[in-house]
Amino acid sequence: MLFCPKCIVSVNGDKRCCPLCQGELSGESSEDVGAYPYIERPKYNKSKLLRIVSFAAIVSIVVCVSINLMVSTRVWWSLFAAGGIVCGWIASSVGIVYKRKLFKNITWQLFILTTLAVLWDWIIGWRGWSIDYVLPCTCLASMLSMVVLSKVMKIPVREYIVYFVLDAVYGIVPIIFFLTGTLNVVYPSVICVAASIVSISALILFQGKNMKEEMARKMHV
Amino acid sequence: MSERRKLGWRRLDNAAKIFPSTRNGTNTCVFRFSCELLEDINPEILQDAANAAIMDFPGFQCVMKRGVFWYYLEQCNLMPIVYEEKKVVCAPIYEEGERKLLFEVSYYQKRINLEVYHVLTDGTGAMHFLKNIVYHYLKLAHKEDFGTETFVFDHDASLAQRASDGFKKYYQKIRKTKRMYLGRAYNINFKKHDDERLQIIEGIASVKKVIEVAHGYNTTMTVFLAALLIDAIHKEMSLQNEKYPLVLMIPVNLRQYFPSETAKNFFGMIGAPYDFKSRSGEFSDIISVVNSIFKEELTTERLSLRMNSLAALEYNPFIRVVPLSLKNLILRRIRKINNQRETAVLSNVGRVTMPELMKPYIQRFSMIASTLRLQLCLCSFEDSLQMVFSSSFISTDIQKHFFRSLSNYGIDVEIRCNDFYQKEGM
Repeated sequence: MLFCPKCIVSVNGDKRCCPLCQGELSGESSEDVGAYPYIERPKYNKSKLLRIVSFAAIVSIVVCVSINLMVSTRVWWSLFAAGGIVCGWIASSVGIVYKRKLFKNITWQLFILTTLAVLWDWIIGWRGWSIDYVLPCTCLASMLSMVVLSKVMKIPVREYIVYFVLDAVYGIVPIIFFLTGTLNVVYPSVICVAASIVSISALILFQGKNMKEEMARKMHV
Repeated sequence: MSERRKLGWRRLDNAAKIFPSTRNGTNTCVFRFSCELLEDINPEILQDAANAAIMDFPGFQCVMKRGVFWYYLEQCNLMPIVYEEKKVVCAPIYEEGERKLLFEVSYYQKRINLEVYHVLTDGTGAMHFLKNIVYHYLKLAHKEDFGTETFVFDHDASLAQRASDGFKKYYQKIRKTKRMYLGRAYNINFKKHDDERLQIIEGIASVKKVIEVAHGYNTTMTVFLAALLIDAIHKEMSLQNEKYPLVLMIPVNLRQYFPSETAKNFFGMIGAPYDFKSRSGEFSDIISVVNSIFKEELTTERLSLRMNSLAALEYNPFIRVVPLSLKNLILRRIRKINNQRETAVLSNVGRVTMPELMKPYIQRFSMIASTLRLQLCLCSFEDSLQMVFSSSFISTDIQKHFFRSLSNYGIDVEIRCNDFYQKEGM
């Protein structure tokens, strides 16, 4: 075993210097492996993806605005491009933050996408496409994707029940637009509301107990 | 398995509630207990032993989940997967949203490691679990020696006893707590490694020899080593630093004072301040101060006072209804303030016992805790005393002073340390 004459301690493993004083060691090492294995350098890329996405978004906005300034066309098209990029950035950063929580992610994306769509529709002169098509279609799509994903990945009902209920309740919202007569096209909204009501009643009738237990777990104070 | 249909879940115990929010840098709230045998570990047998041990500790078979107001533990049927040690010591175990057990079993050469996320249990609970794994391992690996004989542990407890909550059992509402105010303490501010890694330096010495020296000062081994640590830290303090007292925090196993067999967290912290401004700093004076703090603080009344003021936070109706994300922010803030009130931590696991017949197969037990700054963990088995420093600093001067003073008393010390990354420093 190696020995540090200054610290008067013996040193395990095959070391170059004393772990305590970094001084020279005397003696021969009997073992060539230490008490601990060499480990791989840990990777610290926790938020790297988010940073790359943010940087890409900033660069593309700057490039768009610069081109717009250099090639003067009197139209501020770069502002639309910038708006689109910001929306894309919001949606993808939420996706990155919740990348491990699939169902939570889907629910968040639903709320964000529909809100952004309504905003866009409103800003570029209200034509109603956001509540005619985007809202009911994304609701349907997210409910459908939850059902398919849970079946494919064999995830038990209780794991996503809360998010599914949130989705389905959100899916009833178009009924308000239907009743107030703000809709131009009724088919998507009617289908969405119908599917939501059917889903919620199925959940309450067949998974009521599961739902109650999950609520007790999630909401305990 | 129809009994599995109703999914079991439980709240985090009182002490565990602060851990999820306080993870920060090298303080991963993970600690490691290991047992070194005299033979190389066989991974298959270890896997069987871990599977058998989890049956005795069903409470450990759970995943942590996020509720709206609190985290909670949900029973699951995942099994621990034994692997050869390949990560940093006390690497983070819980990642938000991940569905995995809150402990890991690994091995390296002759050593079995159990790494536990502090939410699950405290040192005592983890030690019982590790002893259980070692027990099953030895029984499986040496069938010819042990046969079908069963051994009785000194921590024999029913499953219900293990599942009980010590904090809840002994909580009583107190009107006015005389708060022991601890102001700012000296914070070691050495340079840290640029990536979050824990430097482990462990010293192995003879229990008998250290006790002999401690008895020379008319004190116990723990007090002696605590004083030695204070002295070692002091050697690195400038006069400027001395305006704050040096505060050594010491976790105490409450099971010794409040009978409980719980396998959940049941510990408290006591602080041992030493003020170099008003005291001499002589080694014998440090010993007498630490000695008197141990005598004063380690009484049922003092400990229950502390325990109840901690629990009062949990029972506070206003704090309970704050959403979890906000709660985490508050707890992180509280933790930061508390961090400034401590200089270093000293954990003493004490003497580990095993069934007499199994002792010849075991070399030593040790414990390592993750920390933001510096922590010393003591653990002894038979005549082998394991003193493990974990630190986030590049400098090893405090450890050097500590072990040099030990060897100056004529105690033989063997030093072991962890290495990083093949090509860099060895």
